[in-house]
Formats: sequence, C-alpha cells, structure tokens
Amino acid sequence: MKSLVVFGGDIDGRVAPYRDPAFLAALTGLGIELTIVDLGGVGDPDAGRRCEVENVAWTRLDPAGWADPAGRADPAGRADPAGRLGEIRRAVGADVVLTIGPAPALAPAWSVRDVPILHVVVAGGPVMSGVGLLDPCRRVRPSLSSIRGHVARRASRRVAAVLGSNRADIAGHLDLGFFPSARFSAITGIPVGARAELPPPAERGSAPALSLGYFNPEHTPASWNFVKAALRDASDRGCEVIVAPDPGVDTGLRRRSDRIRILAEADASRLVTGIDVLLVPFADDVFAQPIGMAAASGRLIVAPDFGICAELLDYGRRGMLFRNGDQLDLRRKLSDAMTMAAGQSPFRFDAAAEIIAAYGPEACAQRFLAAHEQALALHRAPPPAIRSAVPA
Amino acid sequence: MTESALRVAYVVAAESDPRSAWLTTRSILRQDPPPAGLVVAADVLREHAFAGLSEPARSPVLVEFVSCRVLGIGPRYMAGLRSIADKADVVVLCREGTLFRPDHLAELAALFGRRQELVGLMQQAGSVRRMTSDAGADQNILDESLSGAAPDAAPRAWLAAARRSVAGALRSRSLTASMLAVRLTSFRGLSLSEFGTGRSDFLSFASCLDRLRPRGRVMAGASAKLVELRYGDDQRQARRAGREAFLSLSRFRGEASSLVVSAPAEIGRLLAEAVAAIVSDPARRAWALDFMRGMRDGLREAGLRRK
Repeated sequence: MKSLVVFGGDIDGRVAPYRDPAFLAALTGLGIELTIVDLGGVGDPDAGRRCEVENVAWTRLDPAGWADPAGRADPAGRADPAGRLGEIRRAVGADVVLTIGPAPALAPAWSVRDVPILHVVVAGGPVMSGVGLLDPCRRVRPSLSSIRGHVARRASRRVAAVLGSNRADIAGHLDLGFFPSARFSAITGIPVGARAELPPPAERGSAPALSLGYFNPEHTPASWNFVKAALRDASDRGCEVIVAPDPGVDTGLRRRSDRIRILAEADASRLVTGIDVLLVPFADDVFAQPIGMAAASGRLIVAPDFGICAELLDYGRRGMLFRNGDQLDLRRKLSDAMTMAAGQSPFRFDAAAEIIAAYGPEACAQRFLAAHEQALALHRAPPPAIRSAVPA
Repeated sequence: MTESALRVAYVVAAESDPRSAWLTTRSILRQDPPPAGLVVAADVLREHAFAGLSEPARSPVLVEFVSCRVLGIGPRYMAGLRSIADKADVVVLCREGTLFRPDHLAELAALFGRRQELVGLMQQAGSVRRMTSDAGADQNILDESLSGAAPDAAPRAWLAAARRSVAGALRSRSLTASMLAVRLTSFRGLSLSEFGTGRSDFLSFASCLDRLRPRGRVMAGASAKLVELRYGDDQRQARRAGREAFLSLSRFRGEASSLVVSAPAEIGRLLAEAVAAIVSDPARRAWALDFMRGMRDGLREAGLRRK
C-alpha cells in the first residue's frame, strides 16, 4: 500500500511525534510505502533532512511559489498546491492520502481526488475559535481566523476518515462542523516514544528534597499565571522547582526562593531526568512526549483531566488529574502528588508498560495501518444501491 | 476497535413492576447478535419481586441479578455497571418498561465502532405502547410492540408520519423513556446524578452527558428502535408526576449547565403535551388536568423554598 503523507502547520509542536523516525520506520515495516510532503507553514525547513528514514521519500513544497526541494520553480508556473499535490500523488501512485496537522494549513491538500483522504487532527489551533463566518449566537465576528476556518471546513468535506490522538480533539472538530462526510473515525494514539530509558527517581534519605518539573514549550503570560501559585506552594514546601523554558514574565517567584531552576530550553528528556513530579498545565498534543517519558521512567504526573492527558493517564489511573482550567484544584492535586512522591508511593507501577504497549511507535503504526485498510476497503466497495421511487 | 469486536451489555434498573422488567429483559434477549451481558439491578427491599427474571430463556446470555443496598436509581445503575464492567466495552442503561427492537444492539455496536470518538449516546423512545387491561398475554405484547408496525392507523401514510413527527416534537422528553449508552473506558471516575421524574431518567442522563462531553463526543435524539410501555392506569399518579417533573426540572436548572436540555423549553413542552392531550383526547383529559395541577403545586413549592 502506498501512502502520501502531507504534513502542515507547526512541526515542532503537535506534528513532531508523527515525524519520529521510529514511528515512520514502523509504518514502512508494516508494508506502507511512504512519500512525505511538507506543506507551507512547516516551521523548520531542515526537519525533513534531519528525520531521514530508509525507504521514505521526502518532498518540501515551499510556501513561496511552491518550488520543489531542489529549488526549481513549478514548471507549469502555478502557485497551486492542490495541483502540485495531485501531480505528486499520480507520480508516486499513492492509494491513500494522509494529512497531519492543523486544519487551516491542510485545506489545499484535501482537494486531491480519486483516493481516500485520511486526516489526523491535532489539538487547538486558531480554527477552534470560531464556528462560522458570522455567528451572532456565539458572538463570532468575521476575522482572518474565522475565514480560514470556514474555508478549511468547506474543504474538509472530502475527508473520508478522521484519526486523532484522543476523542476530545476529534469531537471538537466534528462539533464545529468539520469532516461532515467522514465515514469513520479512529483513535490511533500519538507515538510518544516512551522507551523507559531514563533512570528511575533517586532513593531518598531521611530528608526528602523533591523536585517538581514544569514543562510548557508554548509559554504565555496566561499559562504562567495559571501555574504560578501552585509552583510557589511547591517551592514553599521545600521542593526544587525546575521550569522549562524560562517564563521571563514573573520574576517574583524566583526572588522568593532559591529553589527555582530554569532550563534554557524546553527539552523534555533533560527536564524529566532530574525530577520526581511532572506538572503539565494544559491538555495539548505537545505534552504527549514528556508525559510518555515521565510515565516510562516512573515519575508522578499531574495533568488536566481533558483530551490527550486524560487518555494517556487513563482517566486518573496512571497519574493525578486536576479539573481542566481549575487553579484551585491544580494546587490541591499537586500538593497530594508531592506528598505521594515524598512517600515514594508511585501512582501505578505498571503505567510504564501500559503506555509503551498502547502508545509505542509499533502500536500506533498498527492502528494507522488498520485505518488505511478500512478507508481503502470503503473506497473500493460499491456504492450503496439507490432505491427506486417507482414501485416494481 | 472494530465494530465486530465491540461488546455491548445492558443494565436494567428494576423498580416496582416485574411484568415490565420481564418484557424489557426479553426484548434485550431477542437482540441479534446477543448482548455480552444483561444485568437487572433492584433495591434490596424489592429483590423478591424480581426473582423470576433470571429464569433460563432461549438465549446464550445469562441474566444476572444484582441487588443494591443503597436506595435510588443512580446506585442501582452503578451497581449494574460495576458487575458488568469487565465483560463489556459499551453499556446501555435503561429502566424497566423500555423495549428494544431486535436490531438495536447491532445498530449501536456499528455506531460506536464507526465513531470511536463517541463516548455517550442518549436515545428517547420513538413510540409509546399503551398497556390496557385487555392488552393480552405478555408474549403477544412483546411481539406487537417490537414488530415495527405504525402505532396509529391513519388514512394516509404521510398523515400518519406527520402526526408522529408533531407528536414526537411536542412530547416532553423528561417524561419519555430514555436509555444511555456509554463507552466504559471513557466513563471511569464518573457517576450518575439523580434527576428522575419517576418514569424517565432523561435529566440524569443529560447531566451525565454534560460531564462526558469533555472526554469525547456525545449525541442525543429519539430512536425508532426504542418503545416505551405505559400503563393506562397511570393517571392516578398524574398530579404527583406533574409536581415531580417541575421540581426535578427546577433542580436540574440550578445544578447543571446542560448542553443537551434546556429546562424552560422542557417545561414548555410538558405544558404543550398536556394541552394537546386535553384538546385531542377526551379520555386523557382528566390525566392532563391533574398533571397541570401537579405542575402548579411544584411551582408553588419551589416558590416557598426560595422564600
């Protein structure tokens, strides 16, 4: 089976796990021949070169003029991504088109014809802010974001199946009117790359010195205000707080305590290595990787009870969940988690094995293969018979 | 998970009428394919009344009986859920007196298998089967109710369809039998609140769907695969039913910000149904008047509580 994989949007955040070489290798190992295209909007132009996998062809369609990777301009002289994608699909003979990324970035790819299109939804994005071009009930006014959302919604009618890392994100898109013609949806998970290779937390002596890691690569003042009080509580209890990356908004916390350490870079593996408890502020696909790594190495995790976080932590069985957006509940649950970590009572010992089994590259690749096969079978099946209005 | 691998089980909350409970369980046992399990949950005080339900039927499914020491419909559902949690992926909750057409399970399994983001589905009965004193044997009632024949004979098919759709739109949902199907993996850590009105769990299920909504997609609507049994002699309870319906709707509005049901609209629908009964059906006039009097009692009681 040949699949044309189209990436769009921000590859460094939500799309990056799907570009993991181990995941792509697992897909090719299952017999899917991959041709990967990076659409305009992809942040890092060298990402394709860095993620080279055997038997996987990479192409980058430059947003400026849609030139091909060798720098040649489109021979037909068009700035038409859909036409170029169609040509690429015919050239490689792809049976299925798989698009991964935020909906507005991928709308051009959904005009490809004659093959089933599968789309992997990712969390958030500007498209989630508006329902229609003008929606007085929800006080939505026309804006660039809502217009892009509207265009993407119309284009999404061609998508045959919706895949995603969790149910909440798929439901959010469907509730907003995306993918009205999708014939099925599937939870494929997100390859978190959890391999239990990090060392377990250190044995504590009589005077416990716990460390709390706060990870948020997409830092905003609002998110910092949300977690500030909880981090201050932890610091006041004598815990070392490691923040990744530097918030740079509020230095009061740093002045109050010398137990705050700030990493220069949002590197999940570096952060998780030295902590006992990981705090994740919001439910987003960017947190899947650190949660997987922390669970695989036996760290306690405090995360919101929503979206990918709730499903990775199995609704509270593999970690501590606080009510999404509830600051008070976050402080309470973080305090409970620190007490639990001080007593060296991990939340669940087999969480590592469970997460690796469910969200490892091979497991996710199996689910992608099943979705490909189902989409192809539905595409090739004869259309349902139309009942005649005239009685025989 | 594909639809063929999905295991669907049923939990029936038994209340006071063994005959209704028997009809409900037998309609479930007629499902093709058979369910993964069937649990009848009853209060420990009424356990003796339902002892005959677990007698063997011509079905590979064993009817399990669970008695609950905590009174209330919510604990009964939760006891049933706990007893069947390891046997099923999707569990259907309903009260006694709800009948399922034989292809209900197959349709439900296909929907949950095709839509993996779906975590909760509430359905109201699309038609009502009135039980009168001359209704005949239980087996005949079951056959007639599940045959799918139009409940009212109209001179033209389009007229019957229009009448059914108008009646369906006006029928108050909080008094119509409902069922809730939940995906068990997404239901972890939740429980059912009680907003019951004696005959239906619509408000409780709507509240549950509100809490399930952050975990995935929820759907609600009427289904032709469900039939509600109503006894003809329930008008003795009309005044009490009206009062309970109003009070539970008031409480629901106060405690939940529902996305599925709007309490004022539902109160309007209750009144419309009663007015329609007064105008169209002389036999039900006494029932409808008593029901409206009961709603007035509820309104007064709610006003007194506020003071």
